[in-house]
Amino acid sequence: MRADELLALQRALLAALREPLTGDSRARTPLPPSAAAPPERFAATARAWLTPSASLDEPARLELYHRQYWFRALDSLEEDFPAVALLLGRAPFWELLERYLLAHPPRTHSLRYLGAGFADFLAQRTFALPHPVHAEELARLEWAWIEAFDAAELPAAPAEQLAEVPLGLQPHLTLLACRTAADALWLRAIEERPRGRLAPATEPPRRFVAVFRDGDTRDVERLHPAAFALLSSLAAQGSLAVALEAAAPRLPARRGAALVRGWFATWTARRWLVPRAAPSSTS
Amino acid sequence: MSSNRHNAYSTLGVGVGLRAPHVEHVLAKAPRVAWFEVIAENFMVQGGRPRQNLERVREQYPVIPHGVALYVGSAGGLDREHLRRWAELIRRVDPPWVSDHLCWGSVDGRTSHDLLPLPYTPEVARLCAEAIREIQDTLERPFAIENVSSYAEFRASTMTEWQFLAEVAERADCGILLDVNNIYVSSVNHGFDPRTYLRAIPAERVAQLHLAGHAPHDGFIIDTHDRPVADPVWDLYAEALELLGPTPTLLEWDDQLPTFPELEAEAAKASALLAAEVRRAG
Repeated sequence: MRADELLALQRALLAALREPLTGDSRARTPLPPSAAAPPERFAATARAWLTPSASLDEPARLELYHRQYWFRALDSLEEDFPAVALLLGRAPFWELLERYLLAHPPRTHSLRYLGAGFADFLAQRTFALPHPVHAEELARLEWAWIEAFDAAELPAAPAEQLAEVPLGLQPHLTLLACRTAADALWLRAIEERPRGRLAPATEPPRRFVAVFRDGDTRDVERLHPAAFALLSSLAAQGSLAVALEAAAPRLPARRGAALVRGWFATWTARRWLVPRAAPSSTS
Repeated sequence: MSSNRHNAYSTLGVGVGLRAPHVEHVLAKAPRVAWFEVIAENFMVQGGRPRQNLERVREQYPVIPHGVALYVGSAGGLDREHLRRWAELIRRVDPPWVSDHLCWGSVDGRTSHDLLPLPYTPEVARLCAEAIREIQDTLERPFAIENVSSYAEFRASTMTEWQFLAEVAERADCGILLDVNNIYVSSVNHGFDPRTYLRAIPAERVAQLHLAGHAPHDGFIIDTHDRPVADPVWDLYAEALELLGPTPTLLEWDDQLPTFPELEAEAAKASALLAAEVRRAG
């Protein structure tokens, strides 16, 4: 078998695995039922490349891999986005996952990264979805929660150098500007409490959230709008002076300086602020 | 004795696959397990608890990374970025040997996250061997290639699976991680004698054995790793030990995880067979 023939075989098989589940395979999942028959090209691919066994014909053999492809990816995403699943209901959520996987087939070495584009996919609004803003913001929070689990912890900037070196944020820290009460919704979901009535999304965002790791544990915390502006500015450009300027309009006239001092004390204790990496030089 | 250059002349006994729900028990109770195998890709992360746990377990036990995504048979060649992640993991873990599967799983940058079987031909064996040689050159660590379980066979195949595995290992000059359960699963699915497979394997290349549970269906078997090892697989394991001599063995259990003591009890069955073989060989 020549290399180009092997490549053709692998392209044909992976394309077949990416076909949506049908029939009994679909019925074994929470996906909405479908009357669609397996596409003829699935069976044709199986017959072109595979042999039958004593108990299974060629399409049935390929179907075992087809199921594995879908079951593995769907289960992984369901595990990553439990609050989105609760918000939408299991069948609509699984239908959404199917759309996502058809639009964004896996490309990474680990299932860990499969959901990286899920929130952006929801943000595209290319299909009808109940509570679209809530779903998108919950997805962003749940993805930040995953990132907080195993993203890097860099050496913190020493407190006495905060004003002297360009700053950045820990890779495990994600800042979210929310139009919904995503953090409260998420907490109720993971504590298995009723979600209550959904407040409509605001415009502009009025809720600011940090998702981060502190030692061995992860946390989600509301931020003051000025603290959010300050941290966002630091993440974007690194200068403490510019970041303080960006935050100033959102600080209360009285107590502003005390608030900022308190925030920096907390962020320093949590090692959120790190020396900004120098841009790599190119020759 | 299958203590050879492919497993750094190891005399490790029976280990188990380290899974996240068991880590706390392992660190707190320090159970009597000879070694742990970890899924390499789960620890190719930048920080957090996975890395801390790996370091803590490594302080107490030998740890061997076992990959699921090198895909030595992918027609497009190795993912060198993934190989770089492997090299970084090896720098941290410093294992005596490493392993991954004789399979393909990705094409054109898209992946199946599965261990897909290959057509068994000399040309495909050469492609796999070239990839394994590059892996060994890059990682500078003994590398063992594992036979996968399969549910499909290809019209293009001109060799048996055991001929293909031996050919790849010889051409790559690598070790073999012989999964006894996978031999049994494939033997039922494809209708061959698992003992013929076992006898055809070059014993001097076997670095390690795998054991796991599977799910029988009507006329075929799915390799589920979600239950105890089946009796016919224990029989085949005993025969493998007779043929190969005492060989480091790993019990895999990935789904429907039992408690760690239950896992230890299952591993103890393998330890008893391995100890009997040590006595017989000694």
